[in-house]
Amino acid sequence: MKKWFALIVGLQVLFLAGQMAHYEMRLASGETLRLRVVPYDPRSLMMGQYMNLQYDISRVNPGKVHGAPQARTDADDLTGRVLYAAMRPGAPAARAEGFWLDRMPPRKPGIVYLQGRIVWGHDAAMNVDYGLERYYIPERRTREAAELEKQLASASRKPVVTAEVAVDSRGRGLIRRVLVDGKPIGY
Amino acid sequence: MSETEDSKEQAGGPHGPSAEWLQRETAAWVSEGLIRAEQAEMLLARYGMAGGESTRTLRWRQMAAVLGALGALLIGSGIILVMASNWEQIPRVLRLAILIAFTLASYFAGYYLAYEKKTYPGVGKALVLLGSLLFGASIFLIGQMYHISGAGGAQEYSAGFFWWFAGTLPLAYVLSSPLQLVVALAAGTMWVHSTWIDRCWALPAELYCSWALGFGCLLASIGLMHRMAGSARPRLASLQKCYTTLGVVFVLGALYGLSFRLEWKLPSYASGMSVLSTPGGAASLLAPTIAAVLVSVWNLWKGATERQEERERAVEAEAGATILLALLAAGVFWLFVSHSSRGLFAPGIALARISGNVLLLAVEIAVIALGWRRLETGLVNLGLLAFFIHLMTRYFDVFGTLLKGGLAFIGAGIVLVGGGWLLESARRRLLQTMTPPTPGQKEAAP
Repeated sequence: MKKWFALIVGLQVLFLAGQMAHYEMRLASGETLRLRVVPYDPRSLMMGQYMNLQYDISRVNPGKVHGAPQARTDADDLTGRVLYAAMRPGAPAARAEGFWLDRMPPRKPGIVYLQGRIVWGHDAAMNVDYGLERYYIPERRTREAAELEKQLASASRKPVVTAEVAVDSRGRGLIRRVLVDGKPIGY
Repeated sequence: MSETEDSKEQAGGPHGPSAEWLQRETAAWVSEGLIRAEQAEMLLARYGMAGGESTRTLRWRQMAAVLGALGALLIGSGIILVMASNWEQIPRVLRLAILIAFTLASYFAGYYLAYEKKTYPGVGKALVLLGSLLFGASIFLIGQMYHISGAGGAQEYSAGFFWWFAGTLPLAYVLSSPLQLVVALAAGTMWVHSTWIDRCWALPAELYCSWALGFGCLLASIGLMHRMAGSARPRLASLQKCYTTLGVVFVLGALYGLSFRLEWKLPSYASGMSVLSTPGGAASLLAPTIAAVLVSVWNLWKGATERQEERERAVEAEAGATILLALLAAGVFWLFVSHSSRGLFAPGIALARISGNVLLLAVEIAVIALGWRRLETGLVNLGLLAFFIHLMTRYFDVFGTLLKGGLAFIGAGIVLVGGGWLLESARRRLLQTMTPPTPGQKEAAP
């Protein structure tokens, strides 16, 4: 019994270390994209405080998605499907050049493909999650995050908020940092 | 002479013929469902045959185990909350290293105390439980450190629960620990639900009830499988309660949902749902139901081929009931899908609701009866709680029409009293067929 116990515990530790190494590798080797965001901060039971990031590519017109069947006009038909956003990196944020359904199109120079999943849709628009919608904030910095949210809601000149994302060869993104007017926030 | 020493002498001492008889008989009583394993241990302890434990030390041991488990839950929750506060000052690698060090220390200290040295079994098991909670906390800490999102492309948030489940389930079997199984099943259920919510955010209530009924049947049938295997491998029997209880919770919950007035029509917002429009989606909804039928058929076959005793007929009845409930889950799915576009006609809706209520009542009574037969107070309480909630819900449903509600309650009450009368009559007939024991038979025990 002791042998099996030690083996299972060892595998648990290996899994944790492997998971961390996997994410570190993706951060280090991924192509860089900056995505324009609109943050706000709800609370997650499991992971504490986070900003919920919505991007300008989070809402997509189904008519502009390559590979979507012509007969289907209702965006609900595409719920749950994988979508790739073709992004051209630039300043202050990357620009979407098009969207592809299910499969990543052949690579083009200067274009980074970002993978997402269609989670909700109606009529002329659908919502896409890229797995980049949460940015966790240390508990003691939540007041600063709330200030930032206030600025976004009320200031006459709204700050430009972007998320710097590492994108791997399969199109999976991972947030490196969040920037306000090009300057990284300190948390 | 103390009471225990006196009792030990009466039983012939720990190695006498009476001691052997008592040990053999208590094992038989447990397997026949007359007494619980803990009660058997208490009886043996009374005669000094429980490895030096007395009834008092056994009670303390049980109390220590409960306190230890509660303590582990509190410490685990505390560490999860501390980690969730997101320490920015500590580098990521160090943060994970601290958690891994705590996890390893908790696991191995617990194992040493509970299974190797066996001096502090309650505290030791609680520490191993804490290790499992810390493993889960570490998974979510990594998710937090790398800003892993919920319903992203790879469903990564949900995957955390899956890995927690996959990491702790083998421990439950290696250690034969119901506590570990509770953690594993809780994580597994969270995984199934978070994946489900991510993919089927608008699943209609009828379909969710169908799926939950199938899932509950699957868990209950796995529980029965463990119970049957328990006679050959007693370590497995200790785990059956967790499967059965969670399964019963899902079955009762699903039937409770079906006892309401449902539309039996696909809402417009869910018109393009992939789980309904694709065969793969439908198969994923029916997968637990199909698995429940397969496991129950296996249970039936094992029950029929391996056991001939009277008491094992109940096993076959349980497996049969699980198959019927799983078929009901498939029936609910078929009924909804076949009428999803135009909706069920009004009398059909009323009939579905009445059937849901009658079935819920039947299952509540069956759960209470099962709990009594197995001497599992948890199942009895669960059945009574479900009955109470069911009764209160229907009471408030019909509050405007007291007369109809009252008549319905009277009708249901007459059915229950009638059932009790029939059962009592059957018992009396059985007693009359038995011949009174002769004085010689009375003295069968040494």
